[in-house]
Amino acid sequence: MSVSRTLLALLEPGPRHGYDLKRAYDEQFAQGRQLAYGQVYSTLSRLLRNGLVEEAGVEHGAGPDRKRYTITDAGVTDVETWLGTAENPEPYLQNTLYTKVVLALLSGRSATEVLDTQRSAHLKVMRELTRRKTGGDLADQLICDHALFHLEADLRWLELTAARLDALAEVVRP
Amino acid sequence: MIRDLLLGLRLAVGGGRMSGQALLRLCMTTLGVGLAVAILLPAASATTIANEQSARSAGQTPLTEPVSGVDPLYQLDWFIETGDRYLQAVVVAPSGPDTPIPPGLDRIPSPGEVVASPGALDFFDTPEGSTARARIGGEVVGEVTKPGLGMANDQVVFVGAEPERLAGEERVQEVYSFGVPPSGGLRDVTMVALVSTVAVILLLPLLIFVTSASRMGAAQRERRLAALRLLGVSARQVRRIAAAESLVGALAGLALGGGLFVALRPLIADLDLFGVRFFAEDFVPAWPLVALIVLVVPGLAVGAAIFGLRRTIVEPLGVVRHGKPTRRRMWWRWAITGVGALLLGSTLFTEERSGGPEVGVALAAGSALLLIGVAALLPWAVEKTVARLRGGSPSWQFAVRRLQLESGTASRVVSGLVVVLAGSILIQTLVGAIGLTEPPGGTWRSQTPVVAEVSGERADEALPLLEAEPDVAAVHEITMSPLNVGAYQSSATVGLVTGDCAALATQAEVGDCADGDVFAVGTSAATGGDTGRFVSYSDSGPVFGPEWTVPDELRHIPAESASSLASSTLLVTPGALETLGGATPPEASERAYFATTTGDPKAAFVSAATALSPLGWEADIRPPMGLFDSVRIDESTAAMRGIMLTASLFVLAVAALSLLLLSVEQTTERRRPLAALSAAGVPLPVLARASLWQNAIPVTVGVVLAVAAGIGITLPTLRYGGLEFSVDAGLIGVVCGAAVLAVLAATAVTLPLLRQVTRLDGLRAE
Amino acid sequence: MTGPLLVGRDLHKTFGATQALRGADVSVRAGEVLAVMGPSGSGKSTLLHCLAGIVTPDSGSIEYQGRDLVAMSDAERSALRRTDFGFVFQFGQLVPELTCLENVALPLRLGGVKRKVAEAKARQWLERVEVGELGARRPGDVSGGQGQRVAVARALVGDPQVVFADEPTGALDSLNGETVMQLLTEAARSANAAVVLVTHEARVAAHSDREIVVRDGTATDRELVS
Repeated sequence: MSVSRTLLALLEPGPRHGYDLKRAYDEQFAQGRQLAYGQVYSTLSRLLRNGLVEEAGVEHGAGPDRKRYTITDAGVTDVETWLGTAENPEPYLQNTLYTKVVLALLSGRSATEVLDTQRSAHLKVMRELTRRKTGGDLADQLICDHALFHLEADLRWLELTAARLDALAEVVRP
Repeated sequence: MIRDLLLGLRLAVGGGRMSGQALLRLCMTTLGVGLAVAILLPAASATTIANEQSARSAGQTPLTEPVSGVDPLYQLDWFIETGDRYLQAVVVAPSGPDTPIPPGLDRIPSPGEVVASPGALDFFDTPEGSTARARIGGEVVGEVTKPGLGMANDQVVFVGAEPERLAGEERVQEVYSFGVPPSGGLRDVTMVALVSTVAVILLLPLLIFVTSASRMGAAQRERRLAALRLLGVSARQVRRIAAAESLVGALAGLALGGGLFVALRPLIADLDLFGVRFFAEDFVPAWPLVALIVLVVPGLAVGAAIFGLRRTIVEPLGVVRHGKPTRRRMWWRWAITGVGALLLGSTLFTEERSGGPEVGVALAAGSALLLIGVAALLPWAVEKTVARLRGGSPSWQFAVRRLQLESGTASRVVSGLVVVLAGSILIQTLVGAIGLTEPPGGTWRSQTPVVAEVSGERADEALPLLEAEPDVAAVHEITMSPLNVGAYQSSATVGLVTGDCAALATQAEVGDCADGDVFAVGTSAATGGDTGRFVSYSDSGPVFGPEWTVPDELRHIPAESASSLASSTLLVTPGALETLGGATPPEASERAYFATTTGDPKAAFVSAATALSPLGWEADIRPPMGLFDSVRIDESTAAMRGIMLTASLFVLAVAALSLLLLSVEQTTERRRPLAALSAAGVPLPVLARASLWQNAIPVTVGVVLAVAAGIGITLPTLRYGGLEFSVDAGLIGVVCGAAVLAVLAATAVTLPLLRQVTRLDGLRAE
Repeated sequence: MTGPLLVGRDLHKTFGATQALRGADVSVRAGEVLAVMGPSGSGKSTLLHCLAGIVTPDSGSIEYQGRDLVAMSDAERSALRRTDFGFVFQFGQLVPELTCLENVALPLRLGGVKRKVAEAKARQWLERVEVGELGARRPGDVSGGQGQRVAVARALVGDPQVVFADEPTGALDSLNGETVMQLLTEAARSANAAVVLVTHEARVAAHSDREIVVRDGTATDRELVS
């Protein structure tokens, strides 16, 4: 899953310091594995280089000076494209999908659409597998079924998430 | 155990959360049990009624044993002939101040006063009764109260008279007191038997009804019971819980039945049952029978519920039905039917109209067995009929297949109908046939209508009174005297009817008659040339009078052309007595006057009777045969017919209700397939027709069997009585029509449910 | 491909206080298998009932082969369902007292086909869904999977244009569900009948050519938008 796009999307609601960004990320997505400062700053400098974020002034305070970053128009487009694109259906997508749903909610976009897009992509693959299965021998069928059941599990999770979007929105949007 | 019952009770009426099905089941059980109880309670009162009645009649028994200090009551029983029945009037007069008062009176009526029972007052309003009223004369001053009556509609009349007029009378009883200890009689037994038979016939379909009602919504209830099993309730407890549920309905039914009984009891007094009316307040059920009803009727309802579960095992995870129902055991059904048919058949080998009592028993037992057998065979007959049916339109196919799957319940519903219908065909045909073969005597009417026949001690005094009456055209005198013909050992007595030609013309078709003629009517014991002696009878034996020889020239008159009085007699003109030996009939001969009229005979009779009323019991005046009585036979036939029809229709209505319950249950059970069919575009009429056929097939088989069995048991019975066979097509038609209506109605009532079920909700599985 | 066979636009339907549909668009093309997906209570069954003419929508239009389904009388819609549509439900759609063969022959018989002819065709269909041996049995005596195959045969026996299948495998296990879906879609494709398949299971929907999603009574059909 993409940390850089996640940080970029977290910047979308408004400018933040690197430290804020790390805290926001850890709160929503870390699940026990906190982001290292180093990774935050290296990611931010890569985003700066690509013109997706820009510096929005320095804050002088008690501690060290802190730079604030803000997202550029190109950055917003990038986030939008990313969220609008289906993940390639494959096992263990949850992390990415979950991130996408939460980010869509945080950024005021339609999480339902994310889910629908993903479902449609899943179904496309599942259709292909079903077609292959119908024509194939037993071994083909079993292999296809394995994949089908995994994909179905993804989709079920998607449905469940979709059903809980309202509850989720309350949790992620304080 | 009690806890299980209580749990069942709570489930049955649990906090207003009743489903429609359960509520309907409860209502139907209540209705069925209620009706059964409402029928049983009056039946249980039969003994009380009989006891009360026999106590009253014992209390009315006059005692003539002299009691010192009591002035006897002069009492004379005056039988007033009206048409074909008698009205018994009691002429009373006190012999002194301390005279006993008959039960039912508050005082002894004075001369010219009449006290009549309500039944007698009603009777006076009929044309026939008006003649009796005319004869009694006087003024009605009061009603005979209950202690003076047997049945509520008994016709009792007390007529006051002058003591002097009664004192010398030969027939007068001197009554010193009334009342003997009551004793039960045969009448009680027959009445109880009759009432219980009717009750059983009416109860049978009700029992079937209650059984079907208790099985309504079985599937839903079983699911609930299964849920209880999952909570750890044992199979035995489940049965008790189910029993308690139907107990609620049964108890409500008991209350309803009791309520109906109390509410309808006052109306019983107005009901004419088999020509008798009962006192409403006598309808007090005997308490042991009430206890029996209270125990047995709910017991039956509960038993039916448990019986319905007998092939069902309620498991924790659902309901298991024992696959196919056990094979229907046929042998006993055939055995009963066969024995019945054999018994009935055997009577056909006896000679017509000559059977002894054993033939009667064979007929009765045979009829009963055949009826029971047919009812028992009905499920089999429906099954066989249905198994043979094939093809047809889809709606027909639905019905046939459904019945093939399970026709038992429908058949049970209809079998009660078969018994009652067949039974009523038997009874109705018998009544009809008896009505048809009323003795033909008295059908002959003379050219100048006779209005009255007057006889009795003071008949002579009646003559001027009659002649003074403007409605009476002429009065003819006739003398009746017995003539002993033949040798002493082999003697026969021939009635001699003497009168002038005009007088004889009132009795037979005498044609050209001249004084001196003699006519033999029908088969007379005397032939021309026989010599006989007039005879009269006294306490010490026959007293022989003068001799008379029957003339050779006898003219014969067929029996059909003569009145019943003249039948098998010799009609003699006075001239014949003079020419042949000059004998005159002895003084003891009975003398009668026949009045004729040119106007309306009935009105003329009433005025003649009124004219004679001062003579009271000392002159008998009666209308000719057939003037008033033909109406009565029709009335009683109609009453019988009404009762049979009411019973048949009642049973039919109960059967229709049962069919309705069955339809409702089946429709609810098939909710999903019906909804799916309707979704798939199957028109509602197809489904409605299926439901119609499904009701119609068992009823049709039932009615056909019933008519066949009814005629089957009626024919030998008619033959036994030597009666002519005529089917009461009207009754059968009405019942068949009603059966069709019942089927249509049961189907029609199911339609809204069908419509509701075929709407979307049936499809919603979630 | 030609234009859509069956089109529903802006369908609204309320049952009592429940708004089952609030603006649903859907189109079905001849011969396609369309999956209608969505969570329970989303209104997908109601959408199917509307499209099939079982229920009339409160507002919106339904066109079948250019005919306005909403304007039709109840009798006309019944006749249309009988002649042009076939139905497979989750369970309990077979008439319990008729044999399987008679159940399959029923739509033909209602259409006036003679019994012999109808039953011969029904027998062919039973064999086609691989339950030819069940003809004389009653639905109560066959398994759930077998019953659904009989239902598939019954839905297709009248050569319908559209088969409406509402959770046809809902009461079946995976393997039986798989078989029923294969038989249904294969038979429908070879008969060039469209299938409207209501399901919440992705594996079942995977037998479709296309899906639409119903959520809170609304559905958008890309075919209609574009």
